[in-house]
Amino acid sequence: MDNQANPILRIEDISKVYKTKGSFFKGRGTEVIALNRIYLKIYKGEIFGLVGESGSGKTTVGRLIVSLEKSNQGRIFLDGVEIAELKGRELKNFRRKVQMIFQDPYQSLNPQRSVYDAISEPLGVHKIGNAATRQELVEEAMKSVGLSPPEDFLHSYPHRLSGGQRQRVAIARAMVLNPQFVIADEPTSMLDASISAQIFNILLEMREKSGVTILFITHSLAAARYLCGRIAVMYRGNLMEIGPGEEIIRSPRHPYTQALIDAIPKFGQRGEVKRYGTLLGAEREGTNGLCCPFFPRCKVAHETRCGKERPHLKELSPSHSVACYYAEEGFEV
Amino acid sequence: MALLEVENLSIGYNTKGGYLKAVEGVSFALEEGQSLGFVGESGCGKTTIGMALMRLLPPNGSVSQGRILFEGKDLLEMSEREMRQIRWGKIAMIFQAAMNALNPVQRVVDQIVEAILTHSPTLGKREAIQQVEDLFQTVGIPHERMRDYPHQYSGGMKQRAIIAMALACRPKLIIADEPTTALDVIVQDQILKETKYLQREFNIGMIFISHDISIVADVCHDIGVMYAGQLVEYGPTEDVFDSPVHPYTKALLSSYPTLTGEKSLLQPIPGETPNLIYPPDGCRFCDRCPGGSPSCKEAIQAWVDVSPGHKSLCYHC
Repeated sequence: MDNQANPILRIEDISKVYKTKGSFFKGRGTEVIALNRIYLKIYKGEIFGLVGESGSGKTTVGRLIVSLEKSNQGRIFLDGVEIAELKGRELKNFRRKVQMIFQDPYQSLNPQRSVYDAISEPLGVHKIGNAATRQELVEEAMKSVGLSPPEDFLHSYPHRLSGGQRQRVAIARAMVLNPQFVIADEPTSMLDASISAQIFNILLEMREKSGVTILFITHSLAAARYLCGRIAVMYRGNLMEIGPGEEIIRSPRHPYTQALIDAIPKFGQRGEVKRYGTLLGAEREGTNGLCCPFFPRCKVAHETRCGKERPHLKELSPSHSVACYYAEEGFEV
Repeated sequence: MALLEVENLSIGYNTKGGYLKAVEGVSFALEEGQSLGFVGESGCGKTTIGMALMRLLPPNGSVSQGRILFEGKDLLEMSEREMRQIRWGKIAMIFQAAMNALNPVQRVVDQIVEAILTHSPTLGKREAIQQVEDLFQTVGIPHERMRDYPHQYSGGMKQRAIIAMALACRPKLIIADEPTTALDVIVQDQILKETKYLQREFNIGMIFISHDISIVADVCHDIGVMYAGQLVEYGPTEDVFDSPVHPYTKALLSSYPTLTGEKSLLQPIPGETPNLIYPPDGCRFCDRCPGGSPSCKEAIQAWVDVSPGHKSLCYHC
């Protein structure tokens, strides 16, 4: 790929720490490390999957990219420009180029605004077109997400729409500005399987048509496999493994990814199912903060190695990186 | 005699828009120690069935027709007093969002002791606590955590506590309504394994309700696929998933992304589920069905036997 050299989004050494409030009884608040020194490159036109369990920090990555939150450390570049430096007109322009699709379409749409209002609002904010061209743009966006004919929905309010239709309105609203980069944060976790499939196919089609780059945040490896070229697996704020989706699922290298794949109910698969068995039955006790994040639950870990120092992402092949001493060196178990 | 026999059950809700027929003409049977799974999308009536089995329908819901025979006796004809003995004593339920099912201001052990003592008043408190200790060991909660409050538990532990509570009175039947939906896959896997083990160990009949096909396929012997208030396909799990017959089952299966196998384009089901206040005539899936014909709307729906125990509610099968 010729665009390999030039990522549209580059995340460099990002960390995010949340501080919990202290109280009179509990004393000072504690710090929760939501993201721990994340490096990531996303290339133009790809659908990149960020997979992890709840609390892995995947949503935080998305929120930092749209600068809904500020990181404690590190930098994020879109098209080579650092987003924390953006101000005024440039920031507004950035907000036009980067859009977000949220998880819950029951909460992300204003119940008092009609479908037309919701989708045309971003056009108003960015002063694009006049009334007639806006109507055209809105209808076009609606058609592209399968809300057709648009006249049937234009003046409906969200309460009249099903979950799938609402999510499509939310996607149309994100796409109407013709963004370069879209973050889809678990866009189908509130929807039924048949409706999720519709949304997945809309995302694929959008990428095909407009070449938009999508960061797809999900807890489902199967969904990531379906949509994404490359995926990254996160665990407790750390990137554990990153590489081509198919390769990671077929031959995962990180013990955590292997445990994750073990845990997914195998369905439609007859006969013997290969199990990696890398998950410890009971958590290791007395671990310190310096160890590999998966060390407390990892069966193949070495006390002296994994328990002492956190592994960094290392390339196994140009496209596949893993943060694990075991995968890297293959020590005896 | 089957542990549970449901005959031609229909349930509806009074809503502002009219009478909503949430479940219509559902029949199934469950043998002792077997597990039956209901899958379907939201609004198909699977939770309503679970609630009706416990006689816990909300005030605007009612059973309009049918019988629920539990150990040969009709639950619908029992007095509230008799029902209270059955509920939790013989039929226990693991609710959706079980994390909210625990009382936040009571210690976990006390809540389970309360359930035990209500159903066996002759038991002493000390014996009840002993039972809880055993239960916690079975479901894998360290016993030093017994005296914790629910907020000190993680999601998976709360779910385990709920399972312990469901087992507390040695029920014959457990109804599990989306018991792992809010959990991460690794925890889900542990809970499912435990559930399967306990179900076999104590020979408990189980009705497992989920929207997730892969979970039901993993846990259940038999399976019922529901669509728009009707059971549309029913049979042994392998038969239904390996050779689905009803067009809805087929459509549902091909809209699921999988981890293995050929990566082909998912086939979403076009359209929306029908309005159950004014359900369409004939087959309810007809409008979204690739093989639907005008005659589907006119024909009276009838079960077609595919193989022993495997049947489908489709005129074209």
